[in-house]
Amino acid sequence: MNFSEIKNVLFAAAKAEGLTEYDVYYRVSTDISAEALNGEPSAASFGAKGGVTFRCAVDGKIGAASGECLTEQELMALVPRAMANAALIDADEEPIFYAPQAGDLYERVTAEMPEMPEMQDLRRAAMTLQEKVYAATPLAADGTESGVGGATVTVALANSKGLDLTHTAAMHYAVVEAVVNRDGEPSFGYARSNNFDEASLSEMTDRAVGDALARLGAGALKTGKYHAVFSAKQMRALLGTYAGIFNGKNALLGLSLLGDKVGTEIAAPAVSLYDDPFYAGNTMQMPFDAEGVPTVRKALIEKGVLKTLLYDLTTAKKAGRTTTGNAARGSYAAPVSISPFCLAFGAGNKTLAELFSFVGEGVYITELKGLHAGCDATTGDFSIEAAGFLIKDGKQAAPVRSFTIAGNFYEMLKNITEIGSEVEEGGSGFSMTAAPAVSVKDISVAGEA
Amino acid sequence: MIEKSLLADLLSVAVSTGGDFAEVFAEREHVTRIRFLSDKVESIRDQVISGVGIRVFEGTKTYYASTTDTSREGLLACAAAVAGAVGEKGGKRKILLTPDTVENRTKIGRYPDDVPTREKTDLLREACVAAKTTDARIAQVDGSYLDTDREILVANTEGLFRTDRKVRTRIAVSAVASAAGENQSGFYGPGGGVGIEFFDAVSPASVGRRAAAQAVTNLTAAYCPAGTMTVAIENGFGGVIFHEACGHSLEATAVGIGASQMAGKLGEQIANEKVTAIDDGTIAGGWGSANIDDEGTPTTRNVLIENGVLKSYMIDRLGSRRLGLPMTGCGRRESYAYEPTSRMTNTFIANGPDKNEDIIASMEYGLYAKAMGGGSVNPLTGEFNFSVKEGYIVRNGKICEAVRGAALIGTGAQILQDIDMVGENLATGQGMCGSASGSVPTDVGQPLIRVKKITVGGRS
Repeated sequence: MNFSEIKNVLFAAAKAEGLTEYDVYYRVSTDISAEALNGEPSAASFGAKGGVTFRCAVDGKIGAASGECLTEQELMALVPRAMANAALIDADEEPIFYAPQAGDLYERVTAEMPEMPEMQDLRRAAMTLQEKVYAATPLAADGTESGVGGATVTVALANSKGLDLTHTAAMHYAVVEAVVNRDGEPSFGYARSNNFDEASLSEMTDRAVGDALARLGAGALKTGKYHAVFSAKQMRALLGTYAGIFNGKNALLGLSLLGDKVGTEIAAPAVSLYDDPFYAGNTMQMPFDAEGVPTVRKALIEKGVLKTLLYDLTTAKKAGRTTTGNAARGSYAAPVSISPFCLAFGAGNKTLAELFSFVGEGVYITELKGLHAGCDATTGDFSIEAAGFLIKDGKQAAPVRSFTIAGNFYEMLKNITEIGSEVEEGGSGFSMTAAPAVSVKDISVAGEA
Repeated sequence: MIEKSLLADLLSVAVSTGGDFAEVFAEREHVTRIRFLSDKVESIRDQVISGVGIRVFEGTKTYYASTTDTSREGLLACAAAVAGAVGEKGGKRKILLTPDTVENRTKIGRYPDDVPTREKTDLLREACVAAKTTDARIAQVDGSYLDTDREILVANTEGLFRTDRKVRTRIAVSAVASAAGENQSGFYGPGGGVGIEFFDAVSPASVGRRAAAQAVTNLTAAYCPAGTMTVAIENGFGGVIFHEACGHSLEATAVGIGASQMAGKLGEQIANEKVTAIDDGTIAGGWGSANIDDEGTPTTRNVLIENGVLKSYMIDRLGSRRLGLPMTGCGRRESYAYEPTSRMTNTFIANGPDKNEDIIASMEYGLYAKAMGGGSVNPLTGEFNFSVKEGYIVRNGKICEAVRGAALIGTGAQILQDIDMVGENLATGQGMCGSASGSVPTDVGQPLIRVKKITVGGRS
């Protein structure tokens, strides 16, 4: 069944139950991928998954039910389930289904949609990555993996107020994990790209192998306070982990410390941060949010000052604000929440070499691990495993590993001392981040005594 | 879920192009998730997951396709897609499926679908109200309730045809304590591989109070000092140290491709002789238990390390081919959308020879990690990390002031040697483990243990 047929079945069932406010959210994805391992092809896969959620308002409460089996019988069963669930909700949020407004613009997507790739091309690319890694260094070792694939995602939303939206986005990706071994010491480097043309595969291999070799022979780092440079990739990872502090609902619930900070300085004056659903490097741009509101680019932080938090319709109404078009669903079945599309940290003007020279003595953080466990999104505190390089005499020096860094993300935003000029983007699907490398003072390191 | 004759047809199509083995996995799972926030039932997620995955092996090469279209045409198209990736049209093979049953170890008292949702929202409300009223500084309580009822079917070209049904129930409370513009959090989330009778043994209010008490403790705690020290790690979810430090490195996923520090070490003394570690998918009512794994293999009690000696890996079907060792019944996946791989089930360090009070008394200065958060590991290097959610400084053999924000890091090989005392109060804790085949429920466990030296991350 396609979305139009699904919608017709559910709308008819809703009307038959006497419902007047309801919506249907549909998200399905298909993907294709090929993998190679230790110089040989290892796996190929085709996937199709997703489903539909029906929501309705009953006596001022929203109930929902979700399923993946899109037959008429199973779809019809969602309606009474959603109604029964509505009766058990006691959140005092008035249900809001978005009524399309004159002038709503859903046409801002600039990304070209890549075609679904052919399996034979993916296999060739996965093997090319293997060949390139093994050719790049005699130290290449077992465990070297590569994967190349493509995916399309279709999101559709229709409601009883006349909203009827569909958007399909697609992406390609290539990943490689190069493993090297020198005299029994293993090391690895990872790289990802949104393309799998020859030039991208070569560039990725250089990056992955370069990182793997650079990490060999890593030593310990002494416990103490450091002036640190976070690589663009790790700055992105931290932004993604702490995205929830900009969530307007978390602020209302007291789960973000930014609730009363709009209009005040929360970061160093050079810091700017945007949420951009149409970020140029993102092939999966999204013209509407999970409530059907048109999406827009907005500044969260400009020159260090907090400009706005992120809202959906319900939270905006409670907070006395307007929606920022940031309603999101983690999957087709997840309740509506609030999330950025692409958190993009504004570029500064220092190259990486200039950042090292500015810091003089410190540590360059190129790896952070276990962020899901070591970062507390409510308090801003973090204490996480890290690896990287010493910064000595203003230059990148010996590799270091097996230490932790600790600090607080809110404090870190204020302690940013310089911002790099080269922005890197990454992430997958509808949620991505973009950031340059930044330098931050007063990072606590635990390592050797 | 799928008729036997159609299963045979699907398998026949799947291996028709050169594959030497094919498998059909079908599932239907009803999931209920309730969220309680700001003193109210916030949302109910009521979801039916259903779909099919078809896998083909050609030696150690794998081919996989998944679909939600479970009509005959949809399934045949899925089988044809996977066969098409293997090669050109080849010979037809007749598949004879032999249904059999595996012993059901867990008798479910109350199936989730037989219990009114209102009873479930009331259980969660009880937990959250208890958290909120524990202390005036509890500013916010975020509670969640989960139950799932999952039926699976596995059939393969070796004739295997088995079904299983697995029920899980869990309640979790996250509490935030607030004072002087500062927030601190506490969490507790017990669960079991049982029905709603889970709450006969676990009172929701006790769950809420435990999360709240932890948040309040952290509010008054100073930052943990950074450095290398002796650490005592409490039982229950403390077992996450073995899960991260060693468990993942013993999975065939890593061992079978040579990307594990534990590859080639069977029979070697890899841990202190006080350490015996077991992965046991057979425990009745265990959070990570099942009668069969997601490849149809009966689960086992798999002794991984005995008195410090490496005895076994965790081996799925593909891992068995790669390593030339028997399967251990641990091929798991989040859903039909994932190809299965070797995963932990209920993994724990067994009770040891030491008295718990002797462990604390033995520490001149160190950290007592009472409650743990999650962590991660790189099996290639064995470097792991995990976070301490509730910790105390130990001085002269006495547990003293609370400290917060600690992380423990090290390498698996080293930490196994450095576990030098093992206590006697084995208990387990429940978690969700994320890896190549998605997020699966895993139990971790241990008695109180002492690690003589480990890097503690904190803010000095």
